[in-house]
Amino acid sequence: MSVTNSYRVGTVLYSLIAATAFYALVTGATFSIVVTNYLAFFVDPLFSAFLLIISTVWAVTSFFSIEYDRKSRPNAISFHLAILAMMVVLTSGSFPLFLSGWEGMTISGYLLIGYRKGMNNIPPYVFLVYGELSTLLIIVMGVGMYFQSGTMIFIAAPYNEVILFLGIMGFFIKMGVMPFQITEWLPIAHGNASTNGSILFSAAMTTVALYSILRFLTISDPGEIFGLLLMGIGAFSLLFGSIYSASAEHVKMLPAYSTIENSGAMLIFTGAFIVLGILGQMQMATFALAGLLIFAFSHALSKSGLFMFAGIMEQSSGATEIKSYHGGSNSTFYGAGGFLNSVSLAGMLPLGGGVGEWMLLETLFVMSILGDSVTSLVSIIVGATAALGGGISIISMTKIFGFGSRGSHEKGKKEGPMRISLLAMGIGVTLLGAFSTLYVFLVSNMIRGYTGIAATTIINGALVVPHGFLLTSFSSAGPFGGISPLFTALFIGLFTGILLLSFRGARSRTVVNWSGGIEEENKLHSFAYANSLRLTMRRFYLTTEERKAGKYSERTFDAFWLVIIFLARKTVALSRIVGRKVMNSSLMAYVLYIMVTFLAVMVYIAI
Amino acid sequence: MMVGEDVITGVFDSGGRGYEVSYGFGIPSWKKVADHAIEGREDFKACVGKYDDKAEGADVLNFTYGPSTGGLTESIKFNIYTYGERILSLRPEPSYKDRKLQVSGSGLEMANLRIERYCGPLSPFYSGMLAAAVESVMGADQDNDLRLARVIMNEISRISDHIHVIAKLAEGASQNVAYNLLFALREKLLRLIARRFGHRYFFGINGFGGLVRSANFKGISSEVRAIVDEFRQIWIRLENSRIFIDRIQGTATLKRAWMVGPAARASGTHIDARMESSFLRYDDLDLHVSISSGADTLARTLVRVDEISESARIIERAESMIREVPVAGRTTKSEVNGEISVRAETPGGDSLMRVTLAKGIIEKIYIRPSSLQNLAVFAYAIRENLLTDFTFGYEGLGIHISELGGVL
Amino acid sequence: MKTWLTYGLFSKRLTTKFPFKAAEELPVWTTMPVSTGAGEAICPANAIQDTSVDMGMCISCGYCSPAFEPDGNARTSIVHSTEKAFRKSFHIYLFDAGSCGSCNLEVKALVNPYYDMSRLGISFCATPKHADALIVVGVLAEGMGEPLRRAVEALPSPRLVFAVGACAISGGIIGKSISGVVETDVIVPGCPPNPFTILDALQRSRGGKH
Repeated sequence: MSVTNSYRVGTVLYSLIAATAFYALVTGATFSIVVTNYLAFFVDPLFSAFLLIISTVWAVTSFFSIEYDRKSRPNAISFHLAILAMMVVLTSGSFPLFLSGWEGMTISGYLLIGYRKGMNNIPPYVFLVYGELSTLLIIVMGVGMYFQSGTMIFIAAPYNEVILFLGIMGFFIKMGVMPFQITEWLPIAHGNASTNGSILFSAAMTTVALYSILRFLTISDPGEIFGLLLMGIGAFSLLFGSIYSASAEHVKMLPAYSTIENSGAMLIFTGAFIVLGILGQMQMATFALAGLLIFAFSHALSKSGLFMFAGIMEQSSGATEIKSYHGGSNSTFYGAGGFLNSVSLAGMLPLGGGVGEWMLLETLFVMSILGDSVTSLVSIIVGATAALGGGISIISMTKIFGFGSRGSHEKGKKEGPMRISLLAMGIGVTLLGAFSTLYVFLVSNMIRGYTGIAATTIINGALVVPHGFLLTSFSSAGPFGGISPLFTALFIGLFTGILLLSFRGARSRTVVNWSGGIEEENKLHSFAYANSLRLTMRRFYLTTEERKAGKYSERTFDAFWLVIIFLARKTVALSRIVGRKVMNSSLMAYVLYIMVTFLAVMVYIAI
Repeated sequence: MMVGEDVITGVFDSGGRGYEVSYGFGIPSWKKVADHAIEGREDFKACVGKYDDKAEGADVLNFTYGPSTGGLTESIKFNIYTYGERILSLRPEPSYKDRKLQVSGSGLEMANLRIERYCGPLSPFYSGMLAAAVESVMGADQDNDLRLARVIMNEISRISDHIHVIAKLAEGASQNVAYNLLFALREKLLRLIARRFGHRYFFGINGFGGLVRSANFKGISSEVRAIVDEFRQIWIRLENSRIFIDRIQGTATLKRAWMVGPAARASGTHIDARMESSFLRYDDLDLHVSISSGADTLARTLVRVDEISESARIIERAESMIREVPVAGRTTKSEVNGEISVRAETPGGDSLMRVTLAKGIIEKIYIRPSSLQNLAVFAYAIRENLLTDFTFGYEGLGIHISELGGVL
Repeated sequence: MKTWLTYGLFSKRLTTKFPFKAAEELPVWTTMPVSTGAGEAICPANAIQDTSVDMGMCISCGYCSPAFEPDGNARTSIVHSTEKAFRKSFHIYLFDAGSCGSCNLEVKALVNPYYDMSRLGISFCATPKHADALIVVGVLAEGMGEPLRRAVEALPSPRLVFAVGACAISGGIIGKSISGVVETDVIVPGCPPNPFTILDALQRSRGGKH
């Protein structure tokens, strides 16, 4: 089968999966297939809800790849393998199956970055080391849980919190939560992974990790401190993700850091869900879980869209630095799709990202007035951090969209599958935002399974907004706040329409650019756009400036990355020595060999 | 020994290898110097208007300001090299509006009219310098009343220019009441000049051996005094404005031996061409030179504020001594030959003029205006300042772009 | 110490009633010299032909006195075309093509409290893109030809181009005029023209009351 055809088949297949997931979610399908004590498949509304999100990404990305990747067979194989591995993780109901899927994700990820030509072997190797660390931590959790429950199948029990936390750490690594951001941006930026690979890394695999966290948290019984810890880690990740995203100059590193930021937000939601459940605030727990799902869905859509935007930009200009973009790769779909996705990621209503961000801040607001002093304090700090990070994300999103769409008057690129997919993601995230109340209806029963309250209780109506279109949060004293994304959309649409209509055909004067009367010599580039941030936050960026031989240079660093890379280099050096002594062959092939063996052993155990 | 004895204050390219160079701020004398010996020097570069400084490096943003923009009164282009907000270096390109003003080859009368239009706001200084140079070549003793008349015209011009500089600073700091009052004050002064001299910028008044038109000096000092008193009232309020002082304090700080005028005096250097008697004697006018320290825009402004009052005092003394100012005759004398260099303290500082006369025609003329030095001061001093300090650094030096082109 | 507010309240009104009333105080040597018949006139700028004066060339030097004396009338400008669209608001951009600096200051003087052109709805703008009229001062310096051409190009239409001062109109005694690069709609003679004359020209060019 040709590469293109594989993507065509993939598009159809993954769309069918999405449709099935939708059907399963509507019907609330719940069943399990237990083959042996080691091998079991679970299907429940949580699975369906996440499968819907993730398979939508698969389907659209596959369609995107029809035009994007026309001949790289290894890339196509890795792409479909990664999807298969994710599917295994999602459906698994027992540890061995789960681990083989997890390991499959790591290996296919490694293949997506490792077998690209002309790159040094440290990035994929480091990626692999952290991937294995993640698996190791999950194995520790699995073993611990096995000792407590006596079975490899996921069953609900009050598991040991330390064991649980170690496993969650393993998922953190996959999500790229600070300080494990290395697994997120490293393969994408340094490894220069393909765009469809990056989308799987950033939009799909992080969502799989989030699903896994939820899966294991809901079968165990974590304490309040656990939730607060998650919130704290999430806030930390959110802030630093947004800070480093704003300064990123690499076209794929910027969205990758943005994923770290959004992963942080999803962790805060998760933590808040746990804390609210323990405090008995079931209405707000419902609100938080609904918010988490909306946030995760819109992040998956718009982040895929943003990577597509970056991929189109990169392919048509042949450069990876945002500052070297001068337009020319534009079409209407490209501009519109890029706009909708970046605006959603910047957290603007009525798009999905905006609804999610509002729900996040609202949840934290309510938590800060619940009366529990520790919760209040944590919520205020986390809320302030989230708001700050959300604000900074506007810089990164305006930067990538603004510089990426510069020169939009130079139209003329054909609208192919790539640009159609980009726009589809944009429209998707817009509809998700505007009709988020409908989405809450859809997941209502699934949420009731965890909180005991149907999510429809957070949908109300007030004033001119009819019942069913107002998302409402609740404090202990009753309704607290609300927004109606649909009405926000209508309001914006109405006024924009009125303005456009009333000024249509108005006398306007067209002028040429004015640059002091001379030829425009220099344009503001993206580096300068974000540089005031680099200078004012020099403590976070470790900004250094120097002048050597008349040349100025300025450098910034991801402070956490410096530590990680130091450790990684040490590990690599050690591994080299060991590698040479044990097996005098190619390091890369050796590592691959170990991985495949490991997987084989896993599969064997499972059967 | 004078301050800055070995400082290059004028570079005359007489053709061929090397330059004729004038050193120090005393009575100008010229020395032939090989080109390689001086070309790297800052003071040399300032005199010839060479600004080759530029910051290079990855991600340094070079953006241009000008040549024509609403923020600049006269046309000049600045290449500003920045990292975000901070200016790493600045390279002015003043050549855009270089008019290549042709003065050599013309008769004295036409030369005088053209020199007036070399820099309109400073016309009495330059036409006065040319007139004094010609008179001196002719061997005529300068008439004492004519000298006093020129002193009065110059000092009024100085007050007007200084008020303008401070008004521009107030404008930059959004001190709108102050800036409107100061601009009104300057308008009042221009109207006073027009009433007494027939022209707001002293055009057509300076002649050789006398004034072309009769001017009314009676009571001029009290009118000027009233304006200066009003200025003091505005200044007292302005100097109490934290917003205003914050913007100019510590802005564009620079200390160099080759600086002239208020910039030099603001860095504590005791130089003023009025102390020399090279063309206009001030010795009987009891000149007090204002000095300040700090070398920043605030210090320069304080020097200017002081000088406004000092000028008013000088005008008072000069008016008390003036009697009958001679009227210039038509200069048809063709046997005027010789070469002379004269120096004057314009509001921006020491300006140098060298004139060669042959048969009543200007054969060669060279002017090294104070704006050249001041633009160099700006280019060096604005480094490491923020972009928002640009206005204060630039306006605080009172640079006239029209001067920079020089004359041919 | 008095505050700015009290200082302002206790100061008297400075703003002129011009152009609705006559100009209070005109500098004599910017207005049109008229023949008095007393002796022969000398004109370094060759603006005088017999008894008539070409104001576009007059450099206001006063050398023709006493054969010619200024008439003290602020209206020396010649308006070739007017644009009524600018009657309510009029944005002007000052363009220095190579002046001695005094025309610039005289145009800028229009914002000071004595003239306060904003009371007539006239204001400066920072780029020709936003301007209704280009006020060109100075002779055409070599380096400014291209910027001038671009500035006119950047002006949205309807638009007006003013040549202010003898230099811009005719080149005066020091250079070339701007006529080689742009067509001018309004010429404002004088060296430099005084602010009243400029204000009068601005008002007339928009067909306003005068």
